[in-house]
Order: sequence, then structure tokens, then C-alpha cells
Amino acid sequence: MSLDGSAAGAMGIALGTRVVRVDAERREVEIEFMPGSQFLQGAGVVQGGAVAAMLDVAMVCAALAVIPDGKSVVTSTLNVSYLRAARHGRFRAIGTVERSGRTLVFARARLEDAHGEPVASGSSSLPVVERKGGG
Amino acid sequence: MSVLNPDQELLQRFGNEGPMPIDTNPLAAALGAELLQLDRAAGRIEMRFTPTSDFGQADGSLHAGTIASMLDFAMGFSALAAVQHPQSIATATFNLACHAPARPGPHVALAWAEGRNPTQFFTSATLRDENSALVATATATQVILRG
Repeated sequence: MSLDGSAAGAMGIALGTRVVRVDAERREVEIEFMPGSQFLQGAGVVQGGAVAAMLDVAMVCAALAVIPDGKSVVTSTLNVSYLRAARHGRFRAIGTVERSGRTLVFARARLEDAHGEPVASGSSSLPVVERKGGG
Repeated sequence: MSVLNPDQELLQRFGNEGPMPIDTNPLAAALGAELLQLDRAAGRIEMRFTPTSDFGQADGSLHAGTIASMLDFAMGFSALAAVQHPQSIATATFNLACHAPARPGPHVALAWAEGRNPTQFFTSATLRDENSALVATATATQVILRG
């Protein structure tokens, strides 16, 4: 899989996305992020939606790693638990596929800060769709 | 002593005098956020966002995280407007349902308080595109920080 920030689109680039590891056997991906300062909210921490975005990228990548060629996924539901404030800096997400069916993928992810402290966890359901150009 | 969150200060001075651009934090500004209406007593807020393709994915649709950002701002602000400094709020849980693909352009988020207790708010929100089509719905809990 060659997904990096550019493949994830402008948002992926802005989040400083880098795929570190894809473990097909464990159905798990590891992704690093270095979000820009444009993702900060008024209290000076990374906004909740940007935290959700990092978890979403990890879960989408995990799903893309297990579905058949010619298919893609879209996020249908996304549930996030914010464990502590996300101080601006580098983050690491681990995304894991819990179940992959013909029509739906269930995934989980956890996000850690640069010190390995858990920042957030999430789960999502991702319908499998036909791949469109560029997606 | 805690410093007043600039978002909270903006919400305190908003008097429903018309759209107010939210320039108090980088992400809101980047999303073109505007405060349209605020009913502090009911915990109801209406905000407009105009995300550009900078918040898109490779296929041109908006990233789910961008949709989450707009709804988190709306629900967070509805709760933040209901507390007084030095109290503040932080989102603890967030649940998103994406109903339809979203494209760059104007979106309106409506958020309201379902309820509150001494430690938490329970909020809901909808996000609609410029044709008023429903794009996403969300619920969240925000904890009240004592400052």
C-alpha cells in the first residue's frame, strides 16, 4: 500500500500523514501525524475534529489494506473517546480491522502523543464501495 | 488563575447581531466559521462553515474529520456558551453518523443541548449543505472544567 499524505488528499497532507507500517496478517496499520498549527482550537490544543480525523485516517487505511482490489471504503459512523487534551506535536495512530465483510468493515483505532500517552480512541463502520478514480 | 479562552470571550459578546466571523482560533478561521445565532438559555447555536478543498480527500469529498470538526465546534460552542469563566468545557465523547458525501462549500451546523448535570453537557447536532440536505448528525458529551 502506498498511501501517504498526498494519497489521502489535502487533509492528509495538512495533517502530516505518514504510513509507518502495514501488517496484513494482524490487519493493523501504524500511522504518524504532524498536524499543522491550523488545527488548533481556542484553548491551544488540537481540535476534536482533527483528532477524529487522525483516528479516521488510521481506520480507513486499516480497512483499505484488507478489502479486495477495485474496492474502497467510506466512513459511515465514527465514535471517539477523548482521553486527554491533544497537545500540539507528533502523534501515532494504530488502526485495526475487527471484522471485514463483503459490505461492511468494522475498525478500531487508538491515538498516542509523542510520549506514548493515549490521547483518544475510536471505532467506525465503513461500507465497502466501488473505487472511483483517485479515491 | 486560568486565562479566558478566546472562543468563550467571543461567545459572551455575541448579541445575535448577524453573522460574526470566528477568528479566535486557527481551525475555525480556516474553515470559514461564522456564528449565526445563539440562544444561551436553550443551549442552541447555529454556525456556518465554508470549508475549501484544503479539507478534502483524494476524491474531492470532505474528509470525515472535517465534518467532525464542524459538528464538534457547534456542539462544543453550545456548551461553552452556557458556562461562565473560569469554568470551561472539554469534549469527552463524540459520535458521528455520515449520511451523505460532503463537498467543499457552505454548510450550516445546528447544535443544541439535550441536557446537563453538574459535571456534563449532552449535546446533539446536524450538518446541512447549501441545499439544506442533511450531510451528518452527531452527539457528544462535554465535561465541565472548573478552571
